Amino acid sequence: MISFSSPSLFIRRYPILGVVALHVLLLAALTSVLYCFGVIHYLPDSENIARWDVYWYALIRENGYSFSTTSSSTAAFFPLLPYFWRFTHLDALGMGLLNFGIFLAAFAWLAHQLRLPARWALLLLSTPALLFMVIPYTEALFFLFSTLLLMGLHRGRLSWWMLGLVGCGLTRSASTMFVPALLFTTLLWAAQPGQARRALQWGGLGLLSNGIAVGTVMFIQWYQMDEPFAFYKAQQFWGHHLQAVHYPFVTPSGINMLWLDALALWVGLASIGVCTWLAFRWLRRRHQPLPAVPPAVVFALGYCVCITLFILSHQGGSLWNFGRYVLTTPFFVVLVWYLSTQPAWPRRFYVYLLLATLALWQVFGVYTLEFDNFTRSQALWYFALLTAYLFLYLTLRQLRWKGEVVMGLYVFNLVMQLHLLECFIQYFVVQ
Amino acid sequence: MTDYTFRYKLRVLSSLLLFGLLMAGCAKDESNVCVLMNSDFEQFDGWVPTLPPFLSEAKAHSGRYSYFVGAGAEFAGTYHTTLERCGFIPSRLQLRGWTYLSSGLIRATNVVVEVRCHDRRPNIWRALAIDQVVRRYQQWEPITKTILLPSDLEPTDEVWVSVWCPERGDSKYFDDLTLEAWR
Repeated sequence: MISFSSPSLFIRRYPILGVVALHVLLLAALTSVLYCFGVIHYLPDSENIARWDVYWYALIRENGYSFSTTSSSTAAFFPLLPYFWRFTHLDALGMGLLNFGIFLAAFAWLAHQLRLPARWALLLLSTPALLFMVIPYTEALFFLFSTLLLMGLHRGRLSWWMLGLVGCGLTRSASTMFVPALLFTTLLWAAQPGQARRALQWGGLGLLSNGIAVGTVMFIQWYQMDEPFAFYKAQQFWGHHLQAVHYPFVTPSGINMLWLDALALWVGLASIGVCTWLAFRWLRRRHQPLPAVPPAVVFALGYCVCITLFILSHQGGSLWNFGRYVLTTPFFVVLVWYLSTQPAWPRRFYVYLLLATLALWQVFGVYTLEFDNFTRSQALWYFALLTAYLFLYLTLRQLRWKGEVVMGLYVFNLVMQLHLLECFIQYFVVQ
Repeated sequence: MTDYTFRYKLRVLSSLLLFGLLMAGCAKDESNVCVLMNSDFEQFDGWVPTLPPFLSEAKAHSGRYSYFVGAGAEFAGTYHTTLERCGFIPSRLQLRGWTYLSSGLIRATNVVVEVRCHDRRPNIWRALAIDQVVRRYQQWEPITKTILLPSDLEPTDEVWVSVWCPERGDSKYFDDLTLEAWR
């Protein structure tokens, strides 16, 4: 039994708790100051937080599932959040706050397990898209269970891995994309010397866990609606169907979310690049040893690849919700953590990355006057700022003024988080 | 010393001249531009006994009237012309104007420019999604969209401009709309 003679000893053992507490304090301070000064005009309450998808979760919570073959229905949503919400008897604000608590606890645990430095932890806690953690959405539960499965991989705990996969599978349809990520992780893991048997065992049990979760969702929907594939069939009413990519890319969430969706696209394409390279190295494993990338990182990369391919193939050039699917997950945290542990990259590597990034922005029509409502110089300025923001993250571990940069990014991110939350509670489109 | 000053002045002068020439190159050559639509919505006043329903006096960026799509409406008026109006086949269109959005609840709102090609080739349909690009409400905001055109258009091809609000959100106003065709 571990005992702590004083709170300071406890904090010394778990410094991340101090970081999370500091973040909550700073967030509360900034929110109260901005509200007091009239910079933000609304704070969440039980009515204004029940917007958009909260309506659907509340419907399932109150009446169970319903399915329509002609219009949007609750069948597109997975059951864990609405039934957990029903179990708690909380109102929308109460559930939002509980979600925020779940997220903070899961983040603290993840950061503790990864030994994430305080600066990085603060920065990642301020990610603007995390506004969804204080809303009765699935983000917080998905974060919790994804953390569990990642830490299972990281610490070699099979039970965490399986429980995480089952939990994610019951929370969100995005978990159906775990299968390719899981197979890729198993493939690379099994190629490591002496790891084949273990990797195959984890891969098999992972598939089984994912299957159990999806099977449970199908059973619940079949039991309530006589349609086991209702969640799949309902996707088309949210515009998710196989379609050609339209250029230039847009996001219905608008200009104040586009930069986050663009960053998610960048992360997704970078993940595709890294996974392609890993696959190539796997093919050449007899000639060259395979790089020892931790399975948790490979899984996180695999998840980002699957989400990217899904959005590009099913949303026709709309990046709707991309930022939400990538930046609010522990997969993003794990990727940033892994980046922070990498040795310094040479300058020319950054130059190549910069050139590739600048070329990527043309998918938004930046250089050909197709970035709507912006002149060319305005569009260039918008994406120059976005590139600077991205490269501050990428180069942070090598920067001389890390503390100052983190502080600047942290405050900017929090202001953006509060701005987006205020948009959400005014019923503006932010997702 | 004097020589140096003279040379310095000469260099500054030639730099300014070069800059001026470059700027002149960037200036709009009128023969390359044709105006397909230029509407401040004042021209109906006094000519018809009942003003069209898409006109409103409630807000105006210039004059008395603006183009209005009421709360819950999907369409308002449509403007129609042909490329014949220009003496050339344009390579791009540029839509410009001003919009006044009553709130962030306008939902999907598209200023649509369509070039109909009489089944000779697929029509060109482009929309400026106002709800995505304008983030200030209850004030006049400029809007602009550039549409790149294919080279196989013909003078008889029709240009249609309209506002389409598939989600029928809150009311919005438009004024001083211009559509320029560039060679």
